[in-house]
Amino acid sequence: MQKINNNKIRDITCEEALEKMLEYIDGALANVSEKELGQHIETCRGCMKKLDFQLKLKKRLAKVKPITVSKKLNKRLQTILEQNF
Amino acid sequence: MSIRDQEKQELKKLIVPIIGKMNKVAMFLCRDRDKAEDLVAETLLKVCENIHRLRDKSKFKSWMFKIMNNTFISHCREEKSRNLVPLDENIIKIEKEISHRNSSTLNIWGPNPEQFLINKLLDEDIKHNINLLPEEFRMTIILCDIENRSYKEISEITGVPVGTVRSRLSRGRAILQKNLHHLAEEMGIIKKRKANAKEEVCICK
Repeated sequence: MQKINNNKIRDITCEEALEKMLEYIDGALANVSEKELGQHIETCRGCMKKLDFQLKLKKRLAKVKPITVSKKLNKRLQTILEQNF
Repeated sequence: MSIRDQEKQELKKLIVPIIGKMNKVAMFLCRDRDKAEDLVAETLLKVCENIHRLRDKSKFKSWMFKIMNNTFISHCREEKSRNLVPLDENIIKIEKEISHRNSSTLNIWGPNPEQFLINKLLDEDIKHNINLLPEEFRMTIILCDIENRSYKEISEITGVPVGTVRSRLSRGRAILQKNLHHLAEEMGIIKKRKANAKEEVCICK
């Protein structure tokens, strides 16, 4: 996240920061909001820890390994494809 | 090669690479291997029957997940009508519990687990805890965090507004975070909090 030194950036509450955090970790946060969040995080240890945890959790979830497709299911799907074309 | 053969080959090219993902999402949704395989098979059948309706092939994946989600919800409703799964009541109960516990959005977030907690947990622990989430939260988290779908795509797949997607993600993650924290305590990965210990809250604003 960018380091913010611009005084014009609006101060936000922890509640607003938590809402923005959600979009930030999903890459859906607008630039202005990101600056506001960045400024808040720099001064709020609680929110910084929450953001850090959420980022780590998201990365960990993305690493959950796929579930092996059984031979039985593969055969079933093959049959469906064959029968419908 | 006939047009039909070409269609078949095209469909295969779209489906084969994502069968594993379909199965993974279905497993998270159904919590049972047999039911998950039935869901994947039924989804594929519907995809085959309706593929001619899909004009933009680049949206195949979202379209397929939407079919899977609708099929799953339809099964849940059937079970609900047989009084097996009170789906909506379950969600309402959890949402009430969260809002009763704390009126502020801040406090639905659990205590902050130590930083190493996440990497200590096994895939099975995480899968199990995702499976414990109510259906709507589960599907939203799977699509966002595991399938990396955008809010808009999730909104299209699940048929709810983007605002609801955000809300479900927020609540679902809060529940997941708390459950993982409790699990880590039980496993001795982190120390148990004292019963009268206060949760960390922000006081800066």
